[in-house]
Amino acid sequence: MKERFFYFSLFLLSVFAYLSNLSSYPLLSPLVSFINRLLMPVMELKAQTTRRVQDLVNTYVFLVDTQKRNRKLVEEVNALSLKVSELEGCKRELLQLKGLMEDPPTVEYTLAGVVAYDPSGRDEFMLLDKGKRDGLEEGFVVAHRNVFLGIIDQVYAGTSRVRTVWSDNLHVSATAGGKNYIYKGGFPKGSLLHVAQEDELKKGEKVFLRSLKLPPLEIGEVYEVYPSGEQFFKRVEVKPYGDVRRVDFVLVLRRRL
Amino acid sequence: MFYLLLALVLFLQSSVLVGIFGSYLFVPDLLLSLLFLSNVRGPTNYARGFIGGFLLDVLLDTLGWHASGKLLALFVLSFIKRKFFIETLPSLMVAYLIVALLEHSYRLLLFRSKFYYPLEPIPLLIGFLVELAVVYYFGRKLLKNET
Repeated sequence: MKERFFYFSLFLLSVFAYLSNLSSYPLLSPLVSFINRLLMPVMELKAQTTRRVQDLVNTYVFLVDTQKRNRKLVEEVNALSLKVSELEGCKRELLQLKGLMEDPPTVEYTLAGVVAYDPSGRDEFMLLDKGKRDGLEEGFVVAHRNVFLGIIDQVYAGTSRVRTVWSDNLHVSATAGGKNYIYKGGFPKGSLLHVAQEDELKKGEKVFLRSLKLPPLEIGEVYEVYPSGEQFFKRVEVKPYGDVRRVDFVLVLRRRL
Repeated sequence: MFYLLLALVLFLQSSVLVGIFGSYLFVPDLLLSLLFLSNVRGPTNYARGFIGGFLLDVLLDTLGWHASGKLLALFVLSFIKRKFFIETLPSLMVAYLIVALLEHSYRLLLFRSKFYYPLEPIPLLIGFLVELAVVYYFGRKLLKNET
């Protein structure tokens, strides 16, 4: 009982000491300063430890915050890069449209009859009944309606030879899916060269002749896309629209590509 | 052994944990946990409580704050021990919950009667949960050793 009474008094004294700030009383200050001097190394160690731990905690919180912000920024950068590539595509198309608007293609043409076909049956060339005398030159584009048939590769006095879209030796610039490629002729299918693996060309996509000076003539459509071509490129087969042997008359556009 | 542990707890509570929790108001009271676990069996040793509290007060420059709190906690613990059996882990945890809630509320009230400092419930709760986890872990060990 006595013990409990003693500690209860000590409890009251402690409360009083805390509320009245007893340690700052002049009578007790020598004792307090003695205790402080005694505990000085401990107090210094304590202060240093507290500061270091606080620094560590702040650094950790800062790093976690930075990591979160970094992740968010990386996401934003990815989204923005996508937007930039979209805008680049739009810009290119607009520039092309601008070029077409400023200088509308007015092409002179000559109507020519077909006099001979490729005897091999591969339709690689055809002969026209117009030649040098009619002002035809090598490189002129040959079309039927809005379909590209080929390019004049040899001109004689009264006739000329057309290298058709079925010929392995025909290489022209083409556009498909908003991107430019090289169209290589071939029998029974032509192909688009250097189509990157990430390009999204689909079966049935139309392939146009690419020229700023000529109207967009159709070459054909994508027949098949094989993802496993070379390491970086896909193999894309194109079925040309031009049916050479059904055509009796063609238009020779008097302009080179 | 007790005084070695006491020194470790005092250093932890007055420096490392203050650095982590930002203020000594929200620091988990490991000294209370130690006093509770060392006094839950046998007669209550008020001297240890007072010495622990007093030393912590010296380290934190809060003369009387922890000392009175720890004495109050030991009074409450002694009362609970007289009225209830603390034989299982749940009863031990409930007893600690009562003692700790009373002690912390008392200390916070005492502090608020003198100073103003914004009370942040989340660090306060985290500190209290840490304390409970410590008592749970060591309390289980204590009860296992007894059996």
